Amino acid sequence: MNRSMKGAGFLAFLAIASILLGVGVGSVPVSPVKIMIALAGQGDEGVRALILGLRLPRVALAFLTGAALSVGGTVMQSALENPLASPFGLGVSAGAGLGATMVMAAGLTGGIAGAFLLPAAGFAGGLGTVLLALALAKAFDARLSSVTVVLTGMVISLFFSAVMDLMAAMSPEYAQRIGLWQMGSFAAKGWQGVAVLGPVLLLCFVLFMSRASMLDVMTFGDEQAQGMGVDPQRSKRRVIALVAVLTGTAVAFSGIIGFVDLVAPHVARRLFGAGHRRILPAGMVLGGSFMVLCDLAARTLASPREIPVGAVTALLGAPFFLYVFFKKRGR
Amino acid sequence: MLEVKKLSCGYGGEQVVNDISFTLSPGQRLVVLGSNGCGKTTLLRGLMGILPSTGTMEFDGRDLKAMTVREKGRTMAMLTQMNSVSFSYTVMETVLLGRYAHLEGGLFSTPGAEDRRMAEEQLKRLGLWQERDKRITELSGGQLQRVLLARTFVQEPRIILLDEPANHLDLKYQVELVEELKKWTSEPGRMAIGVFHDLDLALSFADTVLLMDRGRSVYLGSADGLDPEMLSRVFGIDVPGYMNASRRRWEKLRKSPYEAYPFLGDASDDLRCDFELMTDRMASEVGLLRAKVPDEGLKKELLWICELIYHMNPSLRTQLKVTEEEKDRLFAAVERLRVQCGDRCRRFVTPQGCETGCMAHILRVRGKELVRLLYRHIQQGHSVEPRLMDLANLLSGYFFYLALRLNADAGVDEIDFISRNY
Repeated sequence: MNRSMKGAGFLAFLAIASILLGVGVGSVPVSPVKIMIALAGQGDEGVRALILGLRLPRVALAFLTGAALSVGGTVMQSALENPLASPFGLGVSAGAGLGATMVMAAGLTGGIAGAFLLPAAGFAGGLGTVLLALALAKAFDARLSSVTVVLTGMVISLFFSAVMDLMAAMSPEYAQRIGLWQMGSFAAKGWQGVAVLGPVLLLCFVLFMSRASMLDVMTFGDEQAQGMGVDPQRSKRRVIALVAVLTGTAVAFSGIIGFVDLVAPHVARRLFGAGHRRILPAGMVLGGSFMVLCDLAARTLASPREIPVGAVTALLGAPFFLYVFFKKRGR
Repeated sequence: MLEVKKLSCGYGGEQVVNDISFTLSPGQRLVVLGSNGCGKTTLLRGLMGILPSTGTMEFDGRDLKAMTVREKGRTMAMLTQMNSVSFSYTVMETVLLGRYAHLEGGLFSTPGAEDRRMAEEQLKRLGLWQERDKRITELSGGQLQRVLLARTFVQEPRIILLDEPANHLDLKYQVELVEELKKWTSEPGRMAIGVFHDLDLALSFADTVLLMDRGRSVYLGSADGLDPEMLSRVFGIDVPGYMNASRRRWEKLRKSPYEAYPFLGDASDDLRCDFELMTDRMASEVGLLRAKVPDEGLKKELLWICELIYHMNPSLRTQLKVTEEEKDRLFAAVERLRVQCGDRCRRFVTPQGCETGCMAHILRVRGKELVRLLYRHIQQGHSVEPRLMDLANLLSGYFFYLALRLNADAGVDEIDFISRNY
């Protein structure tokens, strides 16, 4: 009890601190007190507009995206009993990228329709690819073994990436935009992303939490899971489809931001053990906070230029991951 | 009672297991034997429902195939070997997962106090209580397998399926695992079906054997009734020959250390080896011949000799099939004889090998007595098995030699003593 209280305290501190930092730091610094005043609808009009209209939606989307990728990664790793599995590895990123590339290469990004079309194509691409990978895996291997799923996802992922690169090369006028979208950004997305991703994340999180024990059992592999009272194939299909919806929604708004789906679950497990009742919320907060801080770095380090946030997550994530993962073994 | 009728299953279109039928009653331990690829593991997967199958499976009259996966989890559990784990659950968490099939209250339900008590009980029983907060990624293979065993027990199934649960385990863990499973099965209403990599381990666990050859059942019955020839055919090697060779090696290893015959004192290795071989051979010979001799007097004499040999080589003693009453009588007689010929014995007794020296002498005397009896038998016109005569000569000869050697090793020159006194 004491330890979990400490853990919860640490997570709460991390979340609040990262959000305050994310909202407060920038070309115009805003103190936490001013942020609170602005949130309460008081104080300077300019600060209020800056925080509520610009920084807060950006930070909120970053947090939700990080949280969604982390939850998706955690659940995917468990369902496929493979600590190196991730939603992106299964084709979410490649599919979403292909969908978005198609829209951009067709020059359909202008206007209000374009603002909706791009995320919709990203979402459809991501979800569709995972479902395709699942269907193919099922056709190859009726038992839907995890190795088959991972391999099929990987192959489809690589194939779609190649198609995406090809399309980008064929339409050089959009190549830079496509390239940037592939590295992700939270700039100028407004509240629209938060309004969609928030409820999807909440729903998925509650669904996963309600089946935390089942996810625990699934980490022991299909045979043992079946022996313990879980139908591995059915559960796997449902879980993966749900993860595709969640992460597909996340990348639809922000573009592809790698590494968080892989790193956050591992850090959560290192710190809080493997039980899903703890690592789902913990991973969510860790992933969200990490994303907010990465986004902060992305927009401040080279200011006024912005670095793609996907590059920051990988730059910070890779060494941090190595440190956390091998710290124990190296000793 | 588990009733399996005409179970067939396989992978994709390929049928690996064909028409397997058996019934299993509470308390029974069925071991599936057969060479690699004969369908043992596939059969277990078919039973567990991991693979689709044809045929019927009923447990206490209920159709196992009609059960939900969760219901089945309360009836049947499967213990396999895990070589590595990727997710760092604690020992306690892992064992509690065994309660998954029993969790009530649908979604969000977590193990309750009763579940925790059961996990605690099993962890304590298997000596894992101290490790309960350790992560399973930090455990040794043997410890991990014990955690999985505890999880299987906590699941409270009626049937445990064992899919090579002892692979890669040290001998100690293998034996412990099998003993725990035997204990578990002895509780009312429980049964086990196992596949073991190791034939010795399999036979030590089994009371019933299902021998499979290319997906079909070729023998179903008690483990004791298993025909060694059939085993050899299925495995394609001389199984009894192989097992005996290893058994002889073990016997030798078991006996050859110095502590095996403490009464031989610090006698040389040669003598120990001789002693082991001779007593072993004579004991089996005496046992064999005793059943054949028609004469009661001879029978008694042989029984006596047999008991004396066993007296000297305690590792053989368990093989002697005599009643307690007979045994008491024999020991009393040995004691009497020892007192009676105390003086004479002492001449052959070395300071460190009093008992053996005395026993060697007594056996020499018994051997001579046997030779005398046999000659009288022949004189009376009876036929005597030549092997019996050989044995009698061997007895008197070997034990005379043993007494001499023991005393010589202790620095007593017996030859000199005998030549001066007789």
